[in-house]
Amino acid sequence: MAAQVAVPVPQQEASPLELRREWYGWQWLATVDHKKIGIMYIAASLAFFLIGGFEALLVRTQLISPLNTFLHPDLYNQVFTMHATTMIFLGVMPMSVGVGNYVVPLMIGAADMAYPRLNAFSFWLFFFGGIFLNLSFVMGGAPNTGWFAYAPLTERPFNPGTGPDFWLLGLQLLGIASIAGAVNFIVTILKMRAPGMTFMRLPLFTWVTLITSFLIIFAFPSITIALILLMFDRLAGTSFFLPSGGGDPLLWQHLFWFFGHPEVYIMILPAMGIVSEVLPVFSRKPIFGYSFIAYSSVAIGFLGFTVWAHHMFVTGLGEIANGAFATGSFLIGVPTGVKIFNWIGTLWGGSLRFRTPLLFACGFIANFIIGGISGITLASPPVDFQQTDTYYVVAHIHYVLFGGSIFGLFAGLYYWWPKMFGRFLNEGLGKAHFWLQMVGFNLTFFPMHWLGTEGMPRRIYTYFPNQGFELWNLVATLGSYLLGISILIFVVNAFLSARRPAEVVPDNPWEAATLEWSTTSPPPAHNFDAVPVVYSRYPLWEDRDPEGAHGATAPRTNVDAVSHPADDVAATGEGEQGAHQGGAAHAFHLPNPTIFPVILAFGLVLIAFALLFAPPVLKITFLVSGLVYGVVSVYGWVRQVSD
Amino acid sequence: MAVVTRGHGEPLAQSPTGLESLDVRKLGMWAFLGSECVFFGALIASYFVYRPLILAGDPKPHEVLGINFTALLAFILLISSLTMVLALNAIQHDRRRAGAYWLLATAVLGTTFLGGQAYEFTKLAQEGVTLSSGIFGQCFLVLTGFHGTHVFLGVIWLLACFARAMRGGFNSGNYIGAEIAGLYWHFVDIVWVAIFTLIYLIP
Amino acid sequence: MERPHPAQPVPHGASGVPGTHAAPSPEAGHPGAGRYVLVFIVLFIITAAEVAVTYFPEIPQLPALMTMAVLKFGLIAAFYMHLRFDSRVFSAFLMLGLFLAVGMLLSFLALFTAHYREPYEPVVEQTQPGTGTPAVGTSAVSGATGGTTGGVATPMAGR
Ligand SMILES: [Cu+2]
Repeated sequence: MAAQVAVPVPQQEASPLELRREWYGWQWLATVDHKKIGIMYIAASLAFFLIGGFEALLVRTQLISPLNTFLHPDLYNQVFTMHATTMIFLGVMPMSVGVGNYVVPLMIGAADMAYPRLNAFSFWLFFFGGIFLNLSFVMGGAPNTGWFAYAPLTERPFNPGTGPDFWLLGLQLLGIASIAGAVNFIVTILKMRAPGMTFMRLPLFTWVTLITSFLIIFAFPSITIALILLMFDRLAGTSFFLPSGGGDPLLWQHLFWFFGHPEVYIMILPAMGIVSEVLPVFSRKPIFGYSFIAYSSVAIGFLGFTVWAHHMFVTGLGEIANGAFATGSFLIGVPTGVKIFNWIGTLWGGSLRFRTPLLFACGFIANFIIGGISGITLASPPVDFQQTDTYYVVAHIHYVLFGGSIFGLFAGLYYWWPKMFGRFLNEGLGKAHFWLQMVGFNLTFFPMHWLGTEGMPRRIYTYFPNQGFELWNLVATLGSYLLGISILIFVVNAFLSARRPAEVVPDNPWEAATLEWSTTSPPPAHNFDAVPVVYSRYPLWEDRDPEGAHGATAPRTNVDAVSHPADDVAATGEGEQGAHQGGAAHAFHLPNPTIFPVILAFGLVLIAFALLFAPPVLKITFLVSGLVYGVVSVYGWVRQVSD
Repeated sequence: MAVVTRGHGEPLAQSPTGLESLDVRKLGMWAFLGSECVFFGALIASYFVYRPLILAGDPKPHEVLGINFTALLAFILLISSLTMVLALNAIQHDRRRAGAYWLLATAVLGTTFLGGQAYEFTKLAQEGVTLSSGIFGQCFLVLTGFHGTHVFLGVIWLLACFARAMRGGFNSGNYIGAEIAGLYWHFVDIVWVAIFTLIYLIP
Repeated sequence: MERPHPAQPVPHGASGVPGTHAAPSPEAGHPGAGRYVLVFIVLFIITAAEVAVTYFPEIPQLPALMTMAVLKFGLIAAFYMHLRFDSRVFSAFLMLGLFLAVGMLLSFLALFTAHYREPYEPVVEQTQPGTGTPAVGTSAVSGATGGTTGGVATPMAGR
């Protein structure tokens, strides 16, 4: 179906002959190329990001004035729930995955991900799962319980509609996609690094992608179980979370937050990695304290599993548990603070080039410091008792996830855009985008700190006049419109760059140090003509830094001097099994494009629909067809693999 | 299957971490199994959260769960683990026929286990323990049911391996497909070791 | 399917035939069939002992049963799953997952113990929506949706 949705600029460099040979959409639908999959991830997540942003604007418009009647209360519940669900699971997470998908194999000098077909499957399952979730709006009502879906509000007696069913089935699909993707990243990074690329030479974005993937495979099972139990409650008559049947809603909270807190790091760590890549390049000096950043990320990952109940202080865990979870949460501030000093230390004394990626990276640091500090305050139980479920928490999470993750991801998009598409984004529009977004963001979310301390609860559809909430709500709403405009500028920028005639972007336009910049922009299907050999942490800066401590005696491979004969691209174009380059060159086998991952993902979505529908005829039809799709595609997939 | 040879024929820089010699599929399988640990950990934790209620409820687990019968099931899974390693061992030594039949034996034992579990579930249903009968029924059935689902998928996987082995698809140079199926199968066995002790035996 | 990475040097002449090439895993260390059967016999005996222990209440059940379960677990993982002979990375995956699973189990037990000091009577009572229990995350929604969801508050929700 919509493989080609908003995919901005396909690689025009592919030879016209190849384009004519196969239907254009097919190349996207059946692709197993990590670069195309990465671009599809980014495009789809941007589309969902726009939907989620639109929902945010609806919420803010409803709250612009007291006793507003713009949205019906029930619709308001659906919109804010879907806003959060969309932004977290369909916006930020997949955008990080998309950037990682594109960049990580290039960074480590690999030809593709470890499992290219599984990679395609992850994308399509995410994409269909996102559509599945959003279909709920037109199929009997969207989820309306908030993004952490506390039981027993999600249970049948309190919520007889299909909203929670859509939510739990959709998240289950996305969870499968995430775990499959994470396993893929782990194997890719552990196994497929170029010769010489030790862990201490791994680019920091690759480091955090590895850690994030570990967080995903160990955190997602918890929510998988929570969703399964909830599914049994809603569809099979159990009462795991229903007090009337002996269940305990608190179990939901524990299972959910055991996943939910690591999830926060799953969203922020990739952005931290992007910033750690962007800052050295635009400061023209190596990152300050490389190993501190790497190890502090590991520490954050570990500690992230020990603090989940800080979301549950008000459930009355008791002093000991409160103290323990508060201590752990404060502790996380240490490795996080270490990173911030590292970033500032990188900027310090550098010869800064304030291009758009650096602006976004600096915006990230500034906003993330504010979000981090409000997080520290919330880690203290007495403060949390006051602020929980108020707009203070809303301010905090947006400073971390918007001011942090989204700013970091935009830095990454501006930074890697020329590599991905062979064109730059317009610098003027980019700066306008940054400044509008920075101002709009702080206008929107900073006043929420005050609203929260004044006691305005989150998730209410309106408030009374004369409670002291009017002014800051108005400011926040106006700020959110600015934010909307800034995002529109980015969209315009992206389209303009696609429409401009192709320009010749050099391999390494930013004079960066990592391997992805040693190949063409955009790279050929097989990424590198020769396997790069790595002798230092900054392979492309070696020439400039002859005193480099690493491998000074080792023979230098001239990574960026590898030639890219034009006919390589056509010859090894995707799907051409084993196109052999002549002479003493190398033989690359990229897997053939295959349709089975798409079919399997589609079959799983059909099964989700089958679980959703009550009428037996529909149920059986969807179940059977889903199973048929599943069996056929798994069979075909296995046959392809074992051939 | 990407095969890359360098132009000049000299060996590349030595493997920096030793990870390069690992098999891609085995590495992925282990990552997945690590994830599965938490999956079953969360399920078992959910059971234990409700354990005080379960023990206070009616019927009590010990009144309806037969330890001897379950011990038999545990033995069956243990034997299937043995046949699985024997299958792999045979394949690695190019005794292809034997490997195939050991694989088949493993699948048959797995099916026997499933049959035993189905029998146990029907028996429980007759005693009034179902998904909606109360806290014990739901916790027990969902936990063991998900283990059973894993066994079921494992049986299908083993049968696929059997079919491939009969076609001569495995040999001493190409056995990873059977090995990762085995890893999964042993993991399912390990989970049953945990469930058997934690749910059935501990008073 | 095996896709050795470029990083894996393939000597000249060994330009692998796709699909037949498997990673050279350290086969020499793998035990033979005899060892596998021996491990099975030990596993068999331990399982029999587990069942036997339940017939003797004077034996401290929990420590005895847990020890034996851990033994079985270790034997299967070490020999049948080859962890003793394979890369430590594989063991690390299992240990990490186990560590988290056990940590989760123990901390849930600790967190819920106070909670279940005595089994409570499930109660469904009527309260005013939005008052009474400061139900985390639910009061606002139930307040917003009015009568549809707010009618029944649960005694547990706010705890
Ligand atoms: Cu948290």
